[in-house]
Amino acid sequence: MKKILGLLLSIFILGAAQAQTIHWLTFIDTTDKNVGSCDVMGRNILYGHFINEVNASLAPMGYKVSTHDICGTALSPERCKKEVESLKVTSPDDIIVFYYIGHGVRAFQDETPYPQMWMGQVNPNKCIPLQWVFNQLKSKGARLNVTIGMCCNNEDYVSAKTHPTFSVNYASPQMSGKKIKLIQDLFLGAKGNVIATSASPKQTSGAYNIPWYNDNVLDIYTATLCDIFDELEKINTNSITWDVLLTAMSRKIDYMTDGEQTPIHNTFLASAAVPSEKTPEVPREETVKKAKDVENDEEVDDSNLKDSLSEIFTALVNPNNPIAKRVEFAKLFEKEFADKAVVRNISQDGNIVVDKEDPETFLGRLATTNRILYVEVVDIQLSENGIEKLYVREIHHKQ
Amino acid sequence: MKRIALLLISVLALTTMLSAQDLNSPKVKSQIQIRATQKVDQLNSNISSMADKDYNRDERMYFAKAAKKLFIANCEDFYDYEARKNVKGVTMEVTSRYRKSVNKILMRNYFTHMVDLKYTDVEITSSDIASMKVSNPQRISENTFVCTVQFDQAFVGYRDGRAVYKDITTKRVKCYIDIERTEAGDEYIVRLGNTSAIATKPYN
Repeated sequence: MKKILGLLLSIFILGAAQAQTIHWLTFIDTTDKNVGSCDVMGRNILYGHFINEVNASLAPMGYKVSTHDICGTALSPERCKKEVESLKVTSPDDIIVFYYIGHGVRAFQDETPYPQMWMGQVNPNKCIPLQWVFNQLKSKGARLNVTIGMCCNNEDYVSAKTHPTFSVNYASPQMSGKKIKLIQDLFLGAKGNVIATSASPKQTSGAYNIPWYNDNVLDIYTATLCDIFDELEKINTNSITWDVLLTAMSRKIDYMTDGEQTPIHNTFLASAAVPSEKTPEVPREETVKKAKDVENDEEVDDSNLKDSLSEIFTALVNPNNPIAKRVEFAKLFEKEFADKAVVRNISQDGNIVVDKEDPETFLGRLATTNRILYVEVVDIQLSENGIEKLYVREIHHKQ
Repeated sequence: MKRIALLLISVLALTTMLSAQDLNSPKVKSQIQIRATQKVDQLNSNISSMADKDYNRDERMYFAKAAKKLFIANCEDFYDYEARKNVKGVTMEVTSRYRKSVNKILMRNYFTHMVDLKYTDVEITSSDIASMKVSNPQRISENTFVCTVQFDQAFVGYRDGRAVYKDITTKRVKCYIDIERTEAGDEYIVRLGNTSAIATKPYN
């Protein structure tokens, strides 16, 4: 828990207007001795190739982001239960996406085709049913709920298999207008509920060396989801639905594994009109001054802080905001950085630092660009003097 | 003692050799090349905006100021590794359909010139990122590589609503990649350098 910076508090005040939010609940078993390392890769790929692109596509529609990234030692059935039960939907246009990567199991007498999730522990009495998560989220009143479990659907553990053949695809942090529209269509063109899992009853979910993700080992389900997302703009269509996406994934994985792994899903959706774009406003100086007068001993957790900063930067790069206001805010926000602070730009794949800038250069670039869609804050280090280190990933326009 | 010294020297040499070849890793190279194209794309966007008369002069200067920071030494004096001398700043080659010669001017002066163009309106568009051509990074010093990014830029100048000048120029920007060795691993810094005009032709 960290003390919130005075300027960031203004974002919470602004946020009190309750814009719609996309809630990400990711539960990933990154410490298991058998699957931990490939799940670490799965997490990186999922965030880099899927989550960030969805956030970038929904930002112009006025969607804020709330990320619950539970992994490592924080993962537990109790934590999952708490996060799912306590999740609050503040707008009927909210979207919830639940994504689990880890071990799974099913009971022989189970009527549901969907598995139970081990959540990083071994007590079978504590497993969390995917169906339970689906039912919980369905009752929250969000516009769209997507519940996905990437795990085995029998009692076997994940094991490495032979190499499928695909072309190499390094992450490109650029998105075309067509891809953005397809993602907006997917997430906003329907209302209702989706449940999916990576294997049919009694099947295991496999991890492979994935050539198109630099031969790293990760689960084939997440790799296929992200691969389809990477290729989205090449699809000869102007719209995409969850059923089409999940069926394509199922067919592809079934083919690649010779029928040993066949993902399943159900969709309960009705068509909806995609709302028009909104421009998120940069905070005004008066708001900032007002915020600093308020007792600022609020404490927030890292996820909230990173999401809030992402929101600030995404508003800053929006070309629909007047340039003078963007530049003014950039100069104001520069004061939140410590002397000699450094901003590092991280590659979409993995954690290569592809560029470094001082805060003035970074903020000035954001304030004057019309080429950046979304800025994800990957990590932040604070001190009494302000932001010492900032790690970001940028998604740019392709055209 | 001699054997240990030889062993240490060879380990050191091997380590240096391996780390100096980091940019040969396809993954690292790909990500750095992407970053280079993003910076050039940003530059083109800034140039387009700093000449756009829909912005007032102060606003156009914001874009010029931000554009300078994309370049090595922020467009001020720097040591040119390839020329092996100090130079007054990065340069831009400027061409015209009506002039055979190519003028080379300091980038910071070029930006001021773009802000103060005498046309009543200006439209500058450039290749999108996907169409840019990026060369393989080449090492020019122990921890510095250079590559080039090539793109096309179309320029239209208007006077009172009528297009009075149009051209399209193929340009090539040098991109310098510095490697900083840190405890957490290698970190890269990408900065733009001199820009050449390869060819200029009429734009219809």
